[in-house]
Formats: sequence, structure tokens, C-alpha cells
Amino acid sequence: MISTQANKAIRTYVIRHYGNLIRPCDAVLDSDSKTWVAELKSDYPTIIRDDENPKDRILKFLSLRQLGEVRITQDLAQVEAPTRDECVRGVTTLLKRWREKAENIIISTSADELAKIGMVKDALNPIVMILSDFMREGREVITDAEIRDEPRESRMRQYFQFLTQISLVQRVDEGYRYAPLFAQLRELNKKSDDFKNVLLAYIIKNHYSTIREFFRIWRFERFIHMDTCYYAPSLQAEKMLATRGESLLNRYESWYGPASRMRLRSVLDELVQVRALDRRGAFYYGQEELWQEMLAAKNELPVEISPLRA
Amino acid sequence: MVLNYVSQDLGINIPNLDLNDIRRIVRTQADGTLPYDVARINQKLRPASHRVEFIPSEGNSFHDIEEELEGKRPVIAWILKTVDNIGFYHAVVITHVDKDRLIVGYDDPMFGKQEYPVPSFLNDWEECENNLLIRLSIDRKPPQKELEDFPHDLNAGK
Repeated sequence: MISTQANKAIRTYVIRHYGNLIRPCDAVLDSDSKTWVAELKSDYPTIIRDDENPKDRILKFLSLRQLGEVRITQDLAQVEAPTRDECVRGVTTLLKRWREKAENIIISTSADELAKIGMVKDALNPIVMILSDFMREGREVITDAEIRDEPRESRMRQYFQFLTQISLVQRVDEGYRYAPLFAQLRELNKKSDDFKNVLLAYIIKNHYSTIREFFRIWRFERFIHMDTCYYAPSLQAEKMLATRGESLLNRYESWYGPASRMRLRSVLDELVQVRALDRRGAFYYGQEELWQEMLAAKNELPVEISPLRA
Repeated sequence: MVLNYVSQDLGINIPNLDLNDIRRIVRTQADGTLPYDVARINQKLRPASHRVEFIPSEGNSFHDIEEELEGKRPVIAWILKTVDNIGFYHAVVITHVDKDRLIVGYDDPMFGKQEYPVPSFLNDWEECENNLLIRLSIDRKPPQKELEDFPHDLNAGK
């Protein structure tokens, strides 16, 4: 059996069993199992549109690798391959992972703006409360006795533990006091009107995943997702796109599932208000300064993405 | 694209399906669309004023494409599209063949109207294996009702 026939048989199998975006790599002979093996891949095309010039379409590709393998016996009689559902799951997971990587860049560059959003402050209220207390003149230590008086003491202790782990506070005999990093940030930002925002931005920028995964605070995720809906395609296109609100809402629903359009519109308003996005006429744009930072970080975004292997 | 042609150019009354409906019917997922799933739309077209069907098949020749076009039926071909040295399988609607200039013209859902020299088109088509086409079949007779079009409860309406 020569590889040409094996490749042809595998390509035919792939076309008949998977969507058109899946292709096999060249088959290689596995001498142990005496089968031809071809890895499944996708050079995933994405059409990016600028709503101001809808006829101009930017085509970008994302290389998705290791989506499974098709094995075919040397007599081409038997095929072993993932199901279409498995393949779809693989594609969806890798696309989501790429989006999360874009989201990380967006969070880290927009943290200062996101920290100004009322709902973000509300969601992180216990942290804001602790940090604000340390900002009071002469306030050095929050004692264990004070923490015991808190209605949700164990939750509050988790926040103190978190702030200790990220070096903003430190454990002392009688309770917790602010740590050198806290003092250092205060010194660096003494001209800032709102040091609370600086601290929140620091936490969002560096520890958003703990807030989301451990504390399960998802209330303000909507703002981050909407910001991602604007900036991720722009990053892929390497161009600040003019985008209509309706396009952003549609993209939000397609990426993150159904949501109240009224709420999403208000999320957009708030992102504009804190200058995470800009609105001119019917179109949304990125903020120039944030955009430049994001572009500089763009090389952290993979062009090829494959499943994580243990 | 083809449905627009059927309704607007041929004046056949077909159910109004938007892109999202079509995606759902032909089971487009994150990995794209399977060529044979395109035929799933046939059932949805049954209420049309004529029998309209999409028929996928393999092992076609270039002559088959010409024959379809001579019958004024656009035909969908599965090709390997290459952009910036990156290839992906892609469906295009072939609209004309210019025998003098040796050109194949097609409507591409991504890039709009395109024209390619016949040899280059044939390479792209053959790269996809088995020369896959989806033909459009239009029967001027109204569609015959099938068992499932009748109410399940035979007493209904009595």
C-alpha cells in the first residue's frame, strides 16, 4: 500500500464524516499497528468585517492542530476515527481557548478602566471594604476580633487569605495589616484621585482568574466578555474595527450564549463611560491608548493552538 | 445563494429561510458543514410551488458541471480553497463556464464573484477528492405530498 492511496482514502473519509473546515495531515505509517495515521487539523478561517466598510472583509486563519487522528488499515478496509461530535468539541474548545487568551490580554490592558465600573466595585465589595479600611489615616491592623464580627466570617477570612497570598496584606499576631506592596502602590499612585481603583485594577489585572474561579464572582464578567467581543476580532485583524452595537450584541450571543439585549446595551454604555470603548456616531471603536498596549501584547496570542496534553 | 436564485430568478415560491435557519437545517457546526447534510434542506423545501431538491454526489466530471449550467441550474462544488498558502475545504456556487477564455466563474460566500482558469479550478476541485458536486433539481410539477405531510390523526378535521 502506498501512501497516496492511504491519503486519498483518508481525505475521502474526512470529507464524508466531518465539516468542511476539517482536513487531514499527510498520513504516516505506524509500523506497530500497521495502520496509516493522519492527524486532523483545521486552518480555521474567520471573516472579520469592519461595519463602516462592510464590503471589505479581512480573512484570518487560526491553526487548530491535533483534533484527533484517523487510522486506516493498510488494506484500506477499516477506519478508526473520532466521531464528528468529538471533532466539533475539539474545535470549540480550541477556539474558546484562543478567545480566553485574547481575553487575558484585554483584561490586563483594560484593568484600570474596568475597575471604575460600579458593578465591578459592587461585586468585589468585600475586597474594596478591606482595602478602604487600610487606607484610613492611622489604620494599621484589622484585628481577628473585628473579622469575627463579620456576618460571613469564613468568607471574609478567605478574602484576607487571598489578599495575603497576593502580598497586599500580611498576617500579624492580632490580625492582618497592610503589606509593603500595598504601601509601595500607594506611594507610586499618590497623585491618583482614587487609590481604591488602582488597587482593584491591580487585582483584576493580575488575579482575575482567582476572582472568577475560586470566589466564583461572575457578575461583572459580562463587561469583560463585551470588551472581548470588540477587541478580540480587532486584535485578530490587527486593525481597530468600526463595529455597530448590533454586531457586538450578536457576537456576544454567539460566543457566550443568550443574554438580555437591554442589559448588554447598558454594558456597552458603561464601557464607553469608563473609556474602555469609544463611540462615534453609530459605531464603537477601541480606545487608542488601550489598543496600542493590546497590539504590543498581541504576540502572546498563539497563531497555532492544540489541545493541552498531560 | 442558490435559494435566492431559485426564488428571485426562477420565480419559484419557496419557504423563506434565513442564514440561521439554513445553518440549523444543514447541521452546520463549529467544524463546518458536511456536503451530504446539504440535502437535509430538501424536506424544508417541500411546501415550495415546485419540487426543489439539492442532490450531493461524488465522482463527477467537468462535463457534469457544464451540463448543469446549460440547463440553467447553478451547481455547488466542494473545492480546496487556498489563501496565503493556507488551504481549507469550501463550497462555491458555479455560475458560468467561458469555453473561449477557459474560465470557470463562481459565487464564493467569502469572496464574492470569482473567476479562475479551468486548470486551476480543476486542481482545487480534485484536491477535495471524488469531485463532489451538489446539483439543484427543479421539477416543474408541484411536490407530491408524502405520508408525513398528512395529519397523524386521520380523524382530525372530521
